[in-house]
This record gives sequence, C-alpha cells and structure tokens, in this order.
Amino acid sequence: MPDTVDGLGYIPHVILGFYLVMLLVFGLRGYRQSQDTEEDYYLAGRGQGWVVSSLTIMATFFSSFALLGAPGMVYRDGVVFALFSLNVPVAGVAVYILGSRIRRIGQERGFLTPADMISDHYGSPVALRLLVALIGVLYAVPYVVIQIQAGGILSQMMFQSEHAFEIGAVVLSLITMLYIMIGGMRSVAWTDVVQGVLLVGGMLLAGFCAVAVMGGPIPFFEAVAKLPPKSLTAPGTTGLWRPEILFTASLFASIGSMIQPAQWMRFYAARSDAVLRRSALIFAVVLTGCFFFGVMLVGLGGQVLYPLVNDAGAYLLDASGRVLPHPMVGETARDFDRVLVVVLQNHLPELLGSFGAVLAALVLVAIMAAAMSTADSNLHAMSALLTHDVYDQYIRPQASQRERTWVGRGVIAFATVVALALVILSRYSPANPLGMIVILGLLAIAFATQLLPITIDMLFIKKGTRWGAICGAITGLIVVFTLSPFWSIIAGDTFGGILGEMKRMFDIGAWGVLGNTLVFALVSVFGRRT
Amino acid sequence: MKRRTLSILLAMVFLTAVTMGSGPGIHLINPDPSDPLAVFTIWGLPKIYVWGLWWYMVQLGAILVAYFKLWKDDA
Repeated sequence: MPDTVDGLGYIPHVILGFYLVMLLVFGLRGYRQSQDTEEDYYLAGRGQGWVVSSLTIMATFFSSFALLGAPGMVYRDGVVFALFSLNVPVAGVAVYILGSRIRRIGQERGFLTPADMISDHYGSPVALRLLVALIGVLYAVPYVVIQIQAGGILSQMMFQSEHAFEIGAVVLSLITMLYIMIGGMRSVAWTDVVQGVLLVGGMLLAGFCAVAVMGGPIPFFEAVAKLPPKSLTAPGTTGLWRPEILFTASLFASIGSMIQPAQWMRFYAARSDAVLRRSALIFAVVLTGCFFFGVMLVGLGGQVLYPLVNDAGAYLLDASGRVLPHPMVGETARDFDRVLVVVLQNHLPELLGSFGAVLAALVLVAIMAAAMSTADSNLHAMSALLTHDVYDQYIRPQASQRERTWVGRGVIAFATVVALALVILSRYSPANPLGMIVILGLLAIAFATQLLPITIDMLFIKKGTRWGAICGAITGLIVVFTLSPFWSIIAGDTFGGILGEMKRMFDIGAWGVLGNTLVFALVSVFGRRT
Repeated sequence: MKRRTLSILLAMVFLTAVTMGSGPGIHLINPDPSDPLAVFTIWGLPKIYVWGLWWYMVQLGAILVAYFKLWKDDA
C-alpha cells in the first residue's frame, strides 16, 4: 500500500491540504460577515459583484463533468465529443438573456428561490411551488452524487490505498458540508472564486500537459491524425454521438444548466444587470476556450498514449460488447473517466521532474475544486428549496429567521449524508447504477431542463396558464424518467425498442421539453377557451 | 443598423453557428470512417475539431457584437 502518489511524491498531499484549509478559512469568514436571516444565508444580501458572480456561475456550471467526464468521453468516443464545447457559449448567452430578467424580477419582489417566482407568476402557491422544488431536487441529487463520486475516483487514483475511494468521498463531502453550513451563500461564493480560478487554470494546464508529454503541438496532432477513423469522426467509437444527439444535448444541457436552482439563485444574488452582462461574456469566452484548448486535448492525447485498439486494430471489448479503456487506464467500461489522472500521473513528473509533479498536483486539486464547487452550490440550493419552499410554507410558516437558517443547515447535512451513502452503496453494487459521469450528469440536466418552457413563457411570452404549466412540467418529468436508465431497471423492456430508438434520435432532455411544451401549450390554449 | 434588425441578425448568426457546429451541420464535413479514401484531417488537425473551432469563433463574434452594441444599452 503506497503512501505517496505514484510519481508525484508528497506534493499532492501538501497542495491538497493547503487547499482544504483555505476553504475552511473562507467558510469561517463568510460566517463572520453573515446575518441570521434566510435572505442573507441563501443570497448573501443580493450584492455580488462581477468577479464573484462570474466565478461562482462558472464554478457551479463546471464540475467533475468538465475535468474528469469530458476528457473521459473524448478518450472513449474521440474528437466528436469536443464539439460538445459549443454548448458553453449558449449557456453564456443564457446568463445574460435569462439571468438579467430573473434578477430584476427577483430583486423587485424579494424572491429567494425559482419556485417563488414561478408560483407567484402562475398564481399556484402549492402545486407549482412543490413541482418546481421537486425538479430542483431531481437535478441537485444526481449532480451532488457525481461530484462525491468524482472525489472518490480521484482519491483512489491518487492514493491507491484499499479504502482511498471511500476516504476521498467522505473528506470531500464533509468539508463541503461544513463550509456551506457555517457561511451559507457567502462562503459558497467565496470558495467558488478560489475554485473557479483553480478549475479554469486546471483545465488549460491539463491540455498543456497533454500536449507537452507528446513533444508539443505538431507531434501531438500528427499522432492524433493516426488514431482509428472512428475516433476522428461522428458518431464516435461507440456510435453514441450522432449529430442530432450532440445538438440536442448541447442546446438543452447549456440552457438546462443555467436555469437549475443554484444558478437561478446566483442571478438573484447579482448586484446589477451589468454584473451578469460581464459574467456572460467571461463565461462564453474563457470557458469554451478551456474546453477546446484544455481538457478535450487530454482525451485525444489519452487515445494516443493508451490506445483503445490492439495491435491488430480491434477494439478491446468486455463480455457485453462494450468498448473498454486501455488496461493501464481501467478495467471496466466505466473507467474512461480516469484518463486525465492517468496521463498526468504517469507522464508529467517523468517529463518535467518535480515541476511536473507540482503541475500535476495542481490539476488534481483543480478536479477536487470542480467537484466541490458544484456540490456546494447544489447542496446550498437544495437546502433553500426544501427549507423555503416546503418547511417555511407548509410545515412551520411561523418559524423565525434563525430557525429557518438552522433547518437549512440540517437539510444540507442530511442531503450530504444521503448522497455519500448512495455513492458508497452503489460502488459495492455489482451493477453500479451511477455509471459514467457524463451520462448521469446529462440525466440530471434533463430534469432541470423541464423548467425551460415555464421560464420562457414567464419571462417573454406570458400566455401560459397555471394548469398548462403544471401539466407540462409533469409530462416533461414523466418523459425524462421513462427514458432514463432507471425505467429499464424498474419496468424492463416495457415499450419494446421504441424507447431505445427515441434515445438514439435525440437527447432525453429534448424529448422531455418537447412533451412538456406541447402539453403546456395545449392545456393553456384549451384551458383559457373553456 | 437598427437595434431590432441587429438583434435578429445576431440571433440568426448564433443559431446557425450552434446548428452547424454541434448539430446536423456536422454531416457536411464528417468523413465516412469506412471509406479508405476519406480524409480525416485538415492542416494537420482533425477535420471536425477545426469545424468546431470555426463555429466557436462565429459564436464569439456574435456575442461580442451583442455585448458592445445591444446588451450595453440594457444596463
């Protein structure tokens, strides 16, 4: 059982330790400046400037999906998944177009959560409020789960001891839980600033490292050009990323990620429209570049260094016919997400000595930062949804501000423990239902995207009715659930091959939005007439 | 150019970039992996990577014009 990280010595321990202590210091600072009110705990007084806003929006958007999932998906399916980066400018535009309107209305009316605005607009204080809170929870739970899982994977790769996965998952969960509980939105936003800087730097650094280990850009792309044809074309190695799937996933993932509760609350917390305007620009320019010139190159470099095909050109497959990573990356079809860590650990110290070890350790800490920054935002938002939209409204409306913030803290602790338990239990389940990060992340986004028809109607069209919104959202959720992997676990192959065919045509979030919008429009039109 | 005209123009440019870059537009340049004569690279880079970079630049152009000409007025 090695005590040090392969090839990196104790450098990752030192940098990781420093980073974790810094998070706790920020958490404590947030606590000292906070007031014991719900608005302060969840929105930090609605006074965030552009530096904090842009970095907290970025850090919430980018998770382990970006630093482990995306390179893992490029490693598996090839260059086609790099085009998924084009969803980021769409999200950037949404920050301004949707965010500034949400901010203005939220500030005028004193709203705290998405459900406040939506239930107020449609005059549905119970059904729609609960439904919107449910959508938020359906987004937040899987997203928190995959961040904790990423912490476990990272720890396992870094420390390679028997229980490194569990220790990593527990440490990530507990430290995140602690600083959100003590400082609320202020701590979350400040730690997101540190984490945002780390993850932007980490993404670019990872790309630089991948190119450097292969001798520079020219040898890198010469080697990439010799990859198997499937790695250089759509729909990629596994045939998953047909342009139509890529298109709908990119479009709806970007917008869905921007109207999920944690981002919605960041729009409320921004000081002015100008803050969101600048954040939108930074987001679109910087983050897309980080994807294209950063992590996506790691996946391609990974395919060169750790080929998916044997000497005869045949893909390595498991018993079910699924493509496998190179044995040095992992043993199962779920292990593609490890490629970034493997490339950094195995090549950078060898190439650049102790400086390489420091760079590799910084990227590893950036992965931790990406996971924690998304987990903290979603746990914090989930606490707002369950406390403000459920506890305050229906269980104890007479609760004091102090009681409400303490209930919020309790929700954070409970949700963290449940998410952690899910990660650890599924690790010991032979089927491991959590699977690859990108797949689970897209499912969570598909749930959040069901807020899109309501949001567009509420901000721009203003023709929908309460029942239209309720029926549409329920339809969207049912469609997404029916197309999710969970349905086949519960109901087996109920609809023959139809569901599989639908999933191959478009992203499941897009199907949900389609059903949602149709029902929303029909019920609104006919409801108004009758 | 009038504000409304510019808004519509930029929206069309942006949507075209999304549709071409990460959508059905890929079919226009996607080489057939089973074709032995297919060319997979351009200027030494994978064709669809260059395609994506180009449409990223178009998206950024539209966003920059919107930022300076349209969004500025909303503040």
